[in-house]
Amino acid sequence: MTAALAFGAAAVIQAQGRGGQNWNTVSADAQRTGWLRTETRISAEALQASGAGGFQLLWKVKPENQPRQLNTLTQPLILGNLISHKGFKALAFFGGSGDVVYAYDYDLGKVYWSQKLSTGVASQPATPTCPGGLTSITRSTPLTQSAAPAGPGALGRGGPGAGAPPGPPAGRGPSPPIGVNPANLPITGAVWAISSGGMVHALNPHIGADLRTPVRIVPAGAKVIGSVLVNDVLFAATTDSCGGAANGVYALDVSKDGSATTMAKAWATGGATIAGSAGPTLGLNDTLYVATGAGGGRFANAVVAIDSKTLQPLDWFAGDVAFATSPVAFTDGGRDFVAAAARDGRLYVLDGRAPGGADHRTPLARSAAYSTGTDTGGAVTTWQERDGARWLLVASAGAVAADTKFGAANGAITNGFVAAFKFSGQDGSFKLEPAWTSRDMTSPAAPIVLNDVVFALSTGAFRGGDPQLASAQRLERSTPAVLYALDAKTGKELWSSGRSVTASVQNVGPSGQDGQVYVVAADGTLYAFGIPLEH
Amino acid sequence: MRRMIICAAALAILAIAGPRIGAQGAAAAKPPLIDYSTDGGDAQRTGWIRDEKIISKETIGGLKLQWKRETGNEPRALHALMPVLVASNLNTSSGAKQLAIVAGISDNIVAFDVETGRIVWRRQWDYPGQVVPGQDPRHLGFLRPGGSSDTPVIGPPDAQGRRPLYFVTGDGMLHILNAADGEDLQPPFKFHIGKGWSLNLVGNVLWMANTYAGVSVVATKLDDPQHTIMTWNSGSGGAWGRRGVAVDSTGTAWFTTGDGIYDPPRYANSVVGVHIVGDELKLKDYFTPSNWQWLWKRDLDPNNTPTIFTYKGRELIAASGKECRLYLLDPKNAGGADHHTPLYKTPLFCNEEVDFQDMGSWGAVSTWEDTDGTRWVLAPFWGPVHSQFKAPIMNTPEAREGGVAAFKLEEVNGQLQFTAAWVSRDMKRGEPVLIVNGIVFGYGSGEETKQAFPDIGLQFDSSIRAAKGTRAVIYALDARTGKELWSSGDQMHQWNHFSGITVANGRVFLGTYDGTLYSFSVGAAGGGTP
Repeated sequence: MTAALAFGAAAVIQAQGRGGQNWNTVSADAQRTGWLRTETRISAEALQASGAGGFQLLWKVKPENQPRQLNTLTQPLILGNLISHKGFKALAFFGGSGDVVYAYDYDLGKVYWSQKLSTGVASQPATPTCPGGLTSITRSTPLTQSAAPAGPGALGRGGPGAGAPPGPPAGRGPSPPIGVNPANLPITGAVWAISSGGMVHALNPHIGADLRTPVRIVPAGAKVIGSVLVNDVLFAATTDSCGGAANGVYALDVSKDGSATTMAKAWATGGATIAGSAGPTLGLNDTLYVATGAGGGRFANAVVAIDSKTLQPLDWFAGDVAFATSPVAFTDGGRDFVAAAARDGRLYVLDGRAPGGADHRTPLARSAAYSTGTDTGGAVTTWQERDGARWLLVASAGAVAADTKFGAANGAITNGFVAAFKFSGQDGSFKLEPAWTSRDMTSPAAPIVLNDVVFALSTGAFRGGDPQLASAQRLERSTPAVLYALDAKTGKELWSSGRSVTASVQNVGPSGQDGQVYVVAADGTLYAFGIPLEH
Repeated sequence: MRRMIICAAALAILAIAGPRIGAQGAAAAKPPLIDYSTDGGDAQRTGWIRDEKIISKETIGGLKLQWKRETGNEPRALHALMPVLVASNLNTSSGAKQLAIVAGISDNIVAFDVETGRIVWRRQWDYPGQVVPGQDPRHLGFLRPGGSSDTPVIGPPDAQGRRPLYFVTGDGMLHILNAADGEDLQPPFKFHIGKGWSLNLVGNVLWMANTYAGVSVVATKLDDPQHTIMTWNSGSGGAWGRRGVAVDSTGTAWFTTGDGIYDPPRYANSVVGVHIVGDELKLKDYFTPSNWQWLWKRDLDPNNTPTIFTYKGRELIAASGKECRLYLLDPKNAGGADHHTPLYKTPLFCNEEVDFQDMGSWGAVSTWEDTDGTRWVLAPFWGPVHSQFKAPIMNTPEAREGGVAAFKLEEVNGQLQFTAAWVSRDMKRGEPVLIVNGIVFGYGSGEETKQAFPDIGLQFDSSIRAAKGTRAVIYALDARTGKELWSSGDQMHQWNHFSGITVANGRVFLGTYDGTLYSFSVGAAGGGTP
């Protein structure tokens, strides 16, 4: 038990129920931390207390969906409590490659609604590089670090005192007049989906219907690798020039209702691909970040800071090799940082205000090469202990590089692993301390952190061989995925899903909230693991 | 500030009505009259009107609308009229009368002569902050209507034969009136603010369950000259049972707590008993369902007033709520050693969709004992009956918008259990019932209970729901089968919210949102207004 982070029983009880931070977008938040600070039910203590079989497969579903190459379902987004016309709902939203968005009641494992998007364009041929289909959904994400449960009545709707909803002091006098509250309108909780036709759909979280006339944000057939909606602006990143779309970032002001004249802004890399799986990252400083791969131009192999209002590049760090992950943004001591992993098997931490410094080539910290592999899980994960200690986690294929000595290892590694670093220091002396490596995993996805538990996914994906290998062959050479729960401070295995998942996972990391963790298998099956809640 | 209104017209009518009352009093062959002096009929909130002599299966066919009257109450949020109390043989200035006394949410009480429907007296209280200038109380949030939400209680006669009527206005003041004329018997004093529920009077102790008050239950000893106010706070989850507390033979007040956390000393989502120790309220015992986290997550709290009864000499409690189970508890050891173990719990009988607003059991549980000793427990419910719940008798049309579920308490292999007996016909939001001579009186409120809508989300402006209400319909059902014996059909023109039905002396009373009080009578010649 770690006094700094792990929740005591009382704290867990108080955090349970409804409310809390939602997993609103890929990697949880706009900073792509992959970390839920106020997860309600999962902790190392809870996993250990629940004993063998406590944390388990709760349900799995295979919604009707048309796969496109390796593209099946998106990472589930979680809304822990929607007070809807059918009651309090705990919903997992995910998109299907067949341009369908689903809402599942995750406590009941039942579909709540599904909505087929009208793409407005003919379906384009699918290739391994440009599979087409719906690839990204997101929900409005606050540009703050949520630390406390939110929503109506964290202590209930009828509290006698402390739990009473906002209103006049306890009394029998009149409550203030309450009209239609804009904060309750469905648009504020909408699911924003980008169809294969490049159109933005704002879907009513209650029923799934379009709330507005869809508006274009990217060209039809573009490969959107991530989106995020902050302060009424929807950002999306595209790559691989699919559908003729320039690789870069697009932004759409969605504050106006259904205006077809609302034009998307765009910033193009000049040829370089956009790296990683999470898409654009928005720091708490309201600066947008993307990492790039190869492809030419001054913004290749770089982490680029972009003005979120104008989409003009502000600064960048240029490396020697392609970046392999989306950047993660975090703020410690009032200072903004950005971290990303590159194909040289190193982790880079940059100054969020001036990535790369004056010469665009100077990181604040750079790890030694920690992996022999060049492939990563697509995103860097970060979390922070209550005493302020900052952790960075990155998944990597390959073995541990001889150059890096981790403080703790959890078994021999031949296929891949999750590496954990501690980041610390002050101006001029920042350092990345190799802390632990996980057990062996195959093509691990970007891990997530729920309280003091790391969930790491051995995807089983076969990523080697000819890059043009057909998707079917790639699936054949893949093995079933396994989800692991690890102690966040040591990497020690706390739990594994064993053989529960019967297919590999391709390019979709896990997500989780409210006592459950989700895995999207390549056969289109969604698995929910968690601690059962007595109904 | 207060004002008192005794309508001149009413006085004139009283004079006219006098000979009729006298004639009634002289009719020795007439059955004795009863009182309905507290919500649910008794301190145990059984809803069983044991001594009613006029309404029966033989007379129910003659039940007709006798009169309907405007009370002058203005709604606040969705609230309007509380359950009617009936007091017989009140010594009014016009002679002995039977009065129907109804409290309105806007801090008023009206007393009607049951025979004529004429107002005998009316009281209205005003206080600072009661109405905010420019604010239409109909738009207030339905969770916190303000005003006087409690149902009064009538006490036994004092030394002068006067019947005290206890009522708490929205400023938290306890008023003790003469039920015969509305005059103050004592100066009012501060009881407690909050969203109060039906008052309960047991001996010299007045109880009020409460929410949004900082406390869950309030009590005072009426013979305490210091007016010491005793309170107990559940810490989380206010009391929501409409009949307030139910009091057992030890003087322990039982009530349910609503939406919130169970983490002692916080007792949300529980059935709680408190008692008086010295001049304080103390926790006696409690039961919290083991799935309380689920109840909290989906807002399925046990929001009913429980009922207390005796079965084969053993005192027991039945409780229910929005989750839509019926629990059997032992008041001597509620919940067992871990506080999570009931004597018995039924499977879900409604709310398959897990909906906090349109489904579940609301209001209060009722109970009665048949002539053969069979103990019945009845729970009203909203929404459709659960698809997996089967009773031997499922009346038609099938309960889809709500109804009543009836259970028998049985002993099987030495264990007590509730056995499903019947489910009523469909009612639009089944409300707490009364049992009278083998007849169950229930009603569908006709209320729009939805709190969230697909187009506007969760909205607390009560006018949104008010505009969608339909009409209340009273049903008389055979208590052993649930078969419909009578209904009010379309005679009531509006719906109501959190009210209650009253049956006494051959009459059935129910109010609606617009402030109209309806009186049905088995001896009535027909409806109409004066």
